[in-house]
Amino acid sequence: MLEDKDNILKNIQRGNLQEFEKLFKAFYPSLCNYALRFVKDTNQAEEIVQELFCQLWETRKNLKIHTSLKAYLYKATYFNSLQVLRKRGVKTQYEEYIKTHKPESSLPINSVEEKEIYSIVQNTLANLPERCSQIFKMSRFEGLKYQEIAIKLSVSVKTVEANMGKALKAFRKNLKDYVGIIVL
Amino acid sequence: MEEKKSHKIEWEIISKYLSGEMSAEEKLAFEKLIDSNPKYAKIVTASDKDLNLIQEINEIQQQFNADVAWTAVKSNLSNSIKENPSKTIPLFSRQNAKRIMQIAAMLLITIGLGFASYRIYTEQLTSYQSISSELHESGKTITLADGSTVTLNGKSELVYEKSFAGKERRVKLTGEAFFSIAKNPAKPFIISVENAEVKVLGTSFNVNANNKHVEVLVETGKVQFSLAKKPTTNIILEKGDFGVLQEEFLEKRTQKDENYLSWKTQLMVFKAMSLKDVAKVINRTYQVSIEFNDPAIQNLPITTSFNKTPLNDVLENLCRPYHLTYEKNGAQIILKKDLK
Repeated sequence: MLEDKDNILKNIQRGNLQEFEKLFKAFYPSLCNYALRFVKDTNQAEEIVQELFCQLWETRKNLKIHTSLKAYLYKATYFNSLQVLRKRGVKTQYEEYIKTHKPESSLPINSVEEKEIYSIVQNTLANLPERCSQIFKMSRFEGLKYQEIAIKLSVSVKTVEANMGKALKAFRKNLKDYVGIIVL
Repeated sequence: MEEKKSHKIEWEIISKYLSGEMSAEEKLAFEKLIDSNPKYAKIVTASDKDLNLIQEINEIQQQFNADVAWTAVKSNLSNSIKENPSKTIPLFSRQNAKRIMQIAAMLLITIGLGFASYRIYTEQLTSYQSISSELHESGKTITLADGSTVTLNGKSELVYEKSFAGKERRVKLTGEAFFSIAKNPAKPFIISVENAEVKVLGTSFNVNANNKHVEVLVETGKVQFSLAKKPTTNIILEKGDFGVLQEEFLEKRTQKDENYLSWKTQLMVFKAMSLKDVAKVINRTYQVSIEFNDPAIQNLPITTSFNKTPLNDVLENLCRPYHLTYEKNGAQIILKKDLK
């Protein structure tokens, strides 16, 4: 999707807002999540990433990126987060991060693919029978035990088991092509 | 046949295993099975990764909504775009609304001002629009170009730019409103009232002003509260801070009134509060005016709470325990001692 870095950059430099929007949407949640690791504040994390993209747009004409776009964005987020920490005066915390968190070492495994995977997840859930996707969400997103789900939905634990199996199978089928790539 | 059977994947069992729903014995047996069957083991490992990935991605996507953030960022960028003529910025969907509330600034302003000056203001600057509410009409809500939402209390007016094209997002308010401001660090949101300005620095806060008396209650984030005439005279308010402007004096205080936002939330809590004070809260919440025919009943203690309760039910609930009655005439309400 975003493999063609030079083209994307060129388009953005020409002022192609759609391309910029795509880039933004593809990276925003994961970059925020990344910034969150350092600043430990959701709002601040979002601010950092939003500012980063504003800057990126403003300086787009003179922008030269030698690494991959993804690496560039993560690195910029990393440095901006540290900046925020430093401004906050969390000196020890800041120094600690400098020592232990090199940007490369803390790059998350999945980033740009996230948006695509997320849509696969959404699609898979949408295509499962309603009860099945409901059970899966309760188990995985809400952290409920089978027993708790069974009681809440007035079904048997067996039904929960069967539906969970069904969902898992569907996800494996749909994610097969993706997870392999990312894990590598 | 045998071969086929051994390859049959039992998703229910894998799921049970990965969800930690197996007993110790079942687990042991299952692990033994996958140990002896590399193909099966591979699937279990892959599924485990699937689940972790799904959960992680779901969490991140739920937490950071790129669509909402994009609206904020884009409205800021559009200044510098010549190639792309400005397009209408999409309004926020219901689904996004909750998220905005979380990331956004919440702001409440009351100020008593004549409308006249704003009429002129509006006419002069055609890129401005206004919305106003009648005396007993509260809860009117509008979504601004940047995705911020504003809910007006009764007898209020808001003047705003159609598309926040400048360096800042500026609105003018008369009366009282609850603001939910979409975050955009590059373009501050400023609410001006006659004698003061409230600037959103971080995320969420409330402002309340009357005549020349202005109050700011910060829920989360940071707010700069300054005099309109002398912007250097300002105080920074953070989470939980309550700032008051009286004449020309700005000061930080604490606000302990849990019914401060009742007009917006329609939630009222009374803990051994005198009926007189209860009436004040109701007046503010429902835009009415309660009076008493007998001063003695004003001090009756009330302990109860109401959540989006219709006014008539509220009044009935208050009257019943003390055998009071009420007479309602438009916005005028008289609480009476039962004279039987």
